[in-house]
Amino acid sequence: MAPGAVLQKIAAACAALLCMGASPAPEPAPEPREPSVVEMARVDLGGSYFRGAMLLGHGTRVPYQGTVGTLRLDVLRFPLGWLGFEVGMRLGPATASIDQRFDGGLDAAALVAPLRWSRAWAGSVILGAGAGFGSSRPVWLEPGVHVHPTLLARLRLFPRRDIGLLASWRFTPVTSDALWVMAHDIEGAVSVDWVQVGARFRVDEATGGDPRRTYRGYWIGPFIGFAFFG
Amino acid sequence: MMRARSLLVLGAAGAIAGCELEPGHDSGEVSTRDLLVSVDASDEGSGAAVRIDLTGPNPVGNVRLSEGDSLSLSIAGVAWPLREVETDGSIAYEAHPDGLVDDLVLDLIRSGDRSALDVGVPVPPPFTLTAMDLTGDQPLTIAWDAASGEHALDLLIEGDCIGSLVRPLATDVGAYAVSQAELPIPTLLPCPLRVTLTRCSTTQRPLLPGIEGGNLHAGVVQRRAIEVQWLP
Repeated sequence: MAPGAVLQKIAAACAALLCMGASPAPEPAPEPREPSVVEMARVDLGGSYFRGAMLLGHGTRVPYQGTVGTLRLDVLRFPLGWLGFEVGMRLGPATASIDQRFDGGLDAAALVAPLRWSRAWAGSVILGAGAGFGSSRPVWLEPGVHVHPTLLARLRLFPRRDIGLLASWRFTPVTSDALWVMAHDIEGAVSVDWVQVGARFRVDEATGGDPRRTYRGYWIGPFIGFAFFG
Repeated sequence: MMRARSLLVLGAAGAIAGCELEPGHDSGEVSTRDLLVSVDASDEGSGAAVRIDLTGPNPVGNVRLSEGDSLSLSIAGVAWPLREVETDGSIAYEAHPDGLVDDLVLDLIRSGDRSALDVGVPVPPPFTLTAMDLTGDQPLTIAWDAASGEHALDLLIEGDCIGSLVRPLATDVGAYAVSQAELPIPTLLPCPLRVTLTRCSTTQRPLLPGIEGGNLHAGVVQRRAIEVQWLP
């Protein structure tokens, strides 16, 4: 900056002080950026307890239970406005009364956000369809990698700029040699700034065997992580 | 406060870890195709006993009939009621027919699964054992009703004065002789002897013909005993 210009600024400031007899008003702080109601990146750690009935042999139903610890990574992006995608990964050890396994998988889905709104209680409804692969779920299925399609729905609400509420449902049908498995994953979470806590529920329902029976399993567990909203 | 919370968390974790689930013993949870039906039948000549155990795959173990399932036993067209007995946590079904005069026929009727009907357990024909007293240098001769088929035959001769002699018989021809030289030397004469002939047959086959899974294991024991004297 030229010395003349500096002197001009100082003079203007002195004049303002003399004329107004008060300190100058500070420049307003920039508005915090609004969180995206559709995008998210999240990493979290969770644990679940599960129990249910499993198929043994040709059609015998026996109870089982276990625990699983899970590290999850999720990314939701909407580069095309209403259209987006998500990628999710999970991995962790599972210890069941039947055996011990490693639980892991990767899911990807194309997303559409048919509803999104701003102002008070900003939020969105996101629908998606995709596919994934991973270790056997429910855990008592034959060990191996299963490929499955996925349908999902997400509801996100921001009652305040720094508080987010999330709920999601994911439906995963899996077929094995003898069974038709339907898995429902339900998640509820609340975010305060970057920190997110929540709980996950899962219902596995497998039908098959001789005689044909239904084998249900239930998972429940909390998680905590960091979530970033666009 | 922190310590109390830690204890609470540890207690909950311990409760979950220690909460072992017991496998169900109810037959309604066990497929007929996973079932092992074990039959033990014995006939001592003065009455018979039949014991039937139902076993599921590991870790289910012993199975109790429930939810409308039933098991029935008949011999030569006569039905013999089965009674549920529990010994040391093991459940079995027992009947006490007059004798094993013919093949056993089982009917396992399932309300929500495949039934196994007319499951036959072959039984060798009943027999009567006779023997003559030993005198002089005569051998011990025994006779019974011979039977064909695959079964094992064992002869047991025992007495306080000789101990015991066990001899498997290779063929079931209805007669056998044991010379005095083959018997242990008696400590005293006359010596009362007990001669026992045991016929054992076993059966192992699928419970449901033509369908994989489900098995029948059966063991049938027919035993006859007679007293004879070894005279000087």
